Amino acid sequence: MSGWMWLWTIVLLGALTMFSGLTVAVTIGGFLDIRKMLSTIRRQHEAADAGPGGTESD
Amino acid sequence: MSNAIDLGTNFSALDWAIVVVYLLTCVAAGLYVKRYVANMGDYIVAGRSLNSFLSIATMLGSEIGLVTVMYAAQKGFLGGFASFYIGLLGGVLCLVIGLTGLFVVPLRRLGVMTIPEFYERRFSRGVRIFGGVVLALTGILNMGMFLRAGALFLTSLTGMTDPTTVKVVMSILLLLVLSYTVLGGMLSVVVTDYIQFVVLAVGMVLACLYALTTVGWSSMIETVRTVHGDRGFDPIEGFGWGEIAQNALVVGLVSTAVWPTALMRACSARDATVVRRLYTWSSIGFLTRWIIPQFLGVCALAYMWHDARGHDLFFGADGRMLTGPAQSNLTLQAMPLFLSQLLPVGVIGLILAGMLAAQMSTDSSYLLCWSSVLVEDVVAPLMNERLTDRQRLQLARVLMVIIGAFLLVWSLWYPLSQNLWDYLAVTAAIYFTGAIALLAGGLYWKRASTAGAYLALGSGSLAVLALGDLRTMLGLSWLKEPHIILGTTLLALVLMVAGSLLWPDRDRPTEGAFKVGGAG
Repeated sequence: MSGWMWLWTIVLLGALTMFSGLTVAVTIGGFLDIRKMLSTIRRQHEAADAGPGGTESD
Repeated sequence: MSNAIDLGTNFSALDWAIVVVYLLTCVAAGLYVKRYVANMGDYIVAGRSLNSFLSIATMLGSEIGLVTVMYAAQKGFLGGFASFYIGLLGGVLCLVIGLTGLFVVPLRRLGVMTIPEFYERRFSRGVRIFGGVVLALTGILNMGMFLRAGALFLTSLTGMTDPTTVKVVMSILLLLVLSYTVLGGMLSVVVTDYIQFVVLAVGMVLACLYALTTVGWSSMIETVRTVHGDRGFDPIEGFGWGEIAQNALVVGLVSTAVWPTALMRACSARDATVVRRLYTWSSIGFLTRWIIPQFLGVCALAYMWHDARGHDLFFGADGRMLTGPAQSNLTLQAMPLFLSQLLPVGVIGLILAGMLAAQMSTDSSYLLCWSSVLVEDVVAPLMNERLTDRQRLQLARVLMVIIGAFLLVWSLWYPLSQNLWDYLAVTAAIYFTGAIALLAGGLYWKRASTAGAYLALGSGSLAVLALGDLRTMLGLSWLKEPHIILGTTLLALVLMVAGSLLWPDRDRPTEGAFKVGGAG
């Protein structure tokens, strides 16, 4: 194989391995993040409603 | 779409069932979270509450679109292994953005929701409106080919040959995306992006492994050597420095740190630390979103070369590959046609679900982005911010539906006379050539002025010359696309500097109004 072909083989194997790892991490971590995000937004809305005037603007 | 090619397919009723279940799950999840939308901040940037993993999922879900997969595979088919340089550039430059925070960290610290909002904070309201109009128009035009790419993929993978059926399926798909994006905004987009990322990532890796074991590594290398020679391995010989420089700009810098749908993720992140982490880890995705489809394109090349019917379709009697504008749709279909022959029942349904996931997540992000820009950066400033939050939400939803209708018509009627990637690069360039100058000048040069900003934004329109049809009409066919795009970017930077020095702002933004680092 030429020098270029070695490079592309390493790039392909590296990309596939790292992407598979990233997919597992993001699948688990992302699910937990969604739960956190929804509870944060719920708290923000409750705080806005409880505050003076309960403004709707951002 | 009259480009249906019937090579037969393994697609079955079970595969359709998998696709339908997946689509219903996405729509249900998107509609479920709409109850959390109470204001424009929730609608556009999900209340700025995204943590790292979800930011990565939504960034990659939207940036790995079906259109990216299709044109990357086309590059692999036409350019062989040498095309991998594009993915390498994308990944490395995204990593550099993550490590340095170039553009994205200062923008997040400013707390802006859109790029034109930054233009107003740094320059003037007029620049915001002008920049918003340029951004929205070019963005919508750019998105115009997404449905066409999706239709080509669907046709090739499922073996659907009736153009009307394909149009109906694509329209239904867009309506599904509209239903949850219109109602739930960014919140629905991030939750559906997450599901779509998981399905798409699993689908892409599975397709790669199947392709690799079926076609064989040595067969791929041999075919690339026979069809492309050294050009199939050496990017300098295969593509030339001009195209490499253009891709470093477009795929590397622009798609990660200047393109608004990617920047919206940075603006939605919880803080600057999350932004850096998001870009650092997303570099793997920015590498892979090119490499995997390009690899599938190379696999398709090897398969078609050895398959009698595939050979007749893609190669002439002398063994040379059929290329040129007339074949641009044909080579786009090489990868899905190959998958339709290769994958077994069940897996092929999962792959289609994954690819539709890619299409839907991109469509939803883009629809949200362009409608938000039109409302926040064009209509609201023109009305002196008299719109209430409720009116803004309603207007964004109406605009989203109008944009969706336009996309359907444009996708079906625009005659694509150049390859898809070139069309996308040119339409995006009209915006980003000026935007780079405004971001670089606005964020990193104190003397950048409003006059310079107008000149830089206006000069970006020259990038329209890179459209093949227009160039031919004006007798400028001798100019090459990379020269026009790189030249326009340079011109915008020069005009920003010249305009700022000749016509400096009398009233510079005050420290309080423009303080990078306040909202991090």
